[in-house]
Amino acid sequence: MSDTDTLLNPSGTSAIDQSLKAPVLVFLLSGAKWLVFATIFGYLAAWKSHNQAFLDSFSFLTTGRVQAAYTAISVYGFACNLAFGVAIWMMARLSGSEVRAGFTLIIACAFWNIALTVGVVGILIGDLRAFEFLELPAYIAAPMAVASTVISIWGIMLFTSRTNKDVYASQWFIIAALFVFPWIQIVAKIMLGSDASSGVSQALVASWFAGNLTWLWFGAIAVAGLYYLIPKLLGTRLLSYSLSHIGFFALIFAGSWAGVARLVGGPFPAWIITAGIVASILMLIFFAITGINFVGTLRQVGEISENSDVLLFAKFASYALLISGIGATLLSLRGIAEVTQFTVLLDAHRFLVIYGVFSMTAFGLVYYLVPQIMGRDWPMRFLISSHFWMSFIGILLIVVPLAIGGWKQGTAMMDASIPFSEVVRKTSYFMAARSMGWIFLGLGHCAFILNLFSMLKPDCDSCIEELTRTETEPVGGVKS
Amino acid sequence: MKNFASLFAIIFCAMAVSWLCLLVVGASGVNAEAVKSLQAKADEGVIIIGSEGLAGAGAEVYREMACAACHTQQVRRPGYGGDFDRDWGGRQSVATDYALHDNAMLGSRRFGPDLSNVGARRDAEWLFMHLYKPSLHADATTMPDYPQLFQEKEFSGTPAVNALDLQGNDTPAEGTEVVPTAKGVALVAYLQSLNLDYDLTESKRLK
Repeated sequence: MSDTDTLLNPSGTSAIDQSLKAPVLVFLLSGAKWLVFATIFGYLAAWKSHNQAFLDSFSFLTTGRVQAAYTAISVYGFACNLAFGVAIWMMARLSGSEVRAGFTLIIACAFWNIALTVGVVGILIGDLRAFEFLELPAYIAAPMAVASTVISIWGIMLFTSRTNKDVYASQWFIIAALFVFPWIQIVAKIMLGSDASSGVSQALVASWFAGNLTWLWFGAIAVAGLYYLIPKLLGTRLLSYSLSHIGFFALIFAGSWAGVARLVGGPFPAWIITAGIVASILMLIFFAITGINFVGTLRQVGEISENSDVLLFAKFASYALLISGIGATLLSLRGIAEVTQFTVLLDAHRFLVIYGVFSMTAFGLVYYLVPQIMGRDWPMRFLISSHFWMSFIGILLIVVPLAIGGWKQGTAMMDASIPFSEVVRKTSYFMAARSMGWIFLGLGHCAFILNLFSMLKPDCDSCIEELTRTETEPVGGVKS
Repeated sequence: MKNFASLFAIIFCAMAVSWLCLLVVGASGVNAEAVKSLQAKADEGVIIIGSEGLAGAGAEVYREMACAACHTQQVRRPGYGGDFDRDWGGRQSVATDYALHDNAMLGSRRFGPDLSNVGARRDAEWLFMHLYKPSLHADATTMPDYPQLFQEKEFSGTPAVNALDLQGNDTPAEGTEVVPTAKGVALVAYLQSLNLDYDLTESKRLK
């Protein structure tokens, strides 16, 4: 792994960046727009979990709907738009190929976001489904699957038309993610919509979907990002990079089974649960190898002068990947799941994976790639490390209290002599800490959005100037 | 994995295997077992009904109000977790219990008690009062009030049969009463239909 994609093709890079500029910025700006709503709904959901009277006289803001809307906005709005943007960018750069017909990506992005907006409104008026990660109403599943299929095809085409001879680990993970994401959406759409899947098989489909979404979509894109960022930022080879093949196999073969381990204790055949647990244990191979590759390399290298603020994000995500990976395996074991199942500890883990691992990697990539496609540095460079530290405090204030609170909730639920209302009361302090965490995350998001908009403002200004100039020009004058 | 075809073949295999084993073989196996078990019950002369009619409409309200965000509907086996000791059901819930439900809302978080067997534990009056104002039953509850499921209306003569028996500060103004809306009535019918009061070959009641 080296800088070959820029070294081999120094003149090509700018042409590639030029072709990437519009589609990638559209994805990033859509992600930033959803981030605003994700912050509002995240805070609202956190606050309502310990202060139930808050805004509950509005049907559309009942606790369950706010939670579902928060999941939809943060996962499919913010995280997916960022995932599309960074995946397309990395794939184009690593393959050394230009994006052709980039407007198709922009149309697909618009399609995705319009469908999602309809879906979020649908959730708030009560059209939600009762499955984790599949809360969005069924009627927008088809447009969203079509949009993500188009985006995936464009990403895969960048790979098939590559000019670089070498193929990097990041590319395998991106190809896997781009195949898996539309696939799981189509399967969930068809299987949840058909009569064949009534009763508990719906829950089986939903847990399979959740596991794949977590590890083979967000996990794979995050890992691709770290395989890209860490050697680039450090200017060094990754420790034991040759092991990455094995990690990749472990992820795609075990990762798509691991989700069903969450069904433990439920009305399902034991072999399904056991298969899920075995897969979760096999996933340790993936976490160990990525741990050696990322954490091992990071521990060897000292300070770097350039982009040290971007490296903070990659560093955090690398450690979070290792911790959440070990956590995922532990949480799947029957003895531990007996306590932790149905508790906020699962929320802590989910947040650590999707925010701590994926979003932090994606933020790092955005801070790395936008200056390259814009051809200038961030206007407020100091805000990058501010964003990082706010996120760092925010994530700790969310994950640690929820993990402890979840364990307490689980042990109290095991003891039938404790009344249920007492069980819930035990967790309320921890829930209050989560609301505090959201305030810090919100501050970090402000720093991110402010920086992104001031970065793009000169371009917008010149764009508007150009538009107004064309309008005032005499109609006949421009024809040739 | 230098060329696209071999890379794609590996990814495709991995995904096809997990889909075939878990969702095709697994899901259809679960469904077939459930149908067989229901048939066995029917042969004994016992017909198990899912949530139909008013209860079916109530299931839609349960989904709409996102009750499943905080309540599960699955009793784990005795000895695994505290479900059995908390009297959430006299037996483990199995796939057959959900076979006749269009939406099996198993839930994944417990900020409230499990509801698989709530119909056996609570009567309609208690459920109405609880939906109107949960703090009437438990001070420490984090369940929100659902005033949307009720309406306050004027009455003359005798109050409606389903008017809530509200006391103290909650007493409605003179000449008015609080009655559930159609959605409220349906939801309570659904909750009352949630009942594990029958034995199945694969899961017999232990208490």
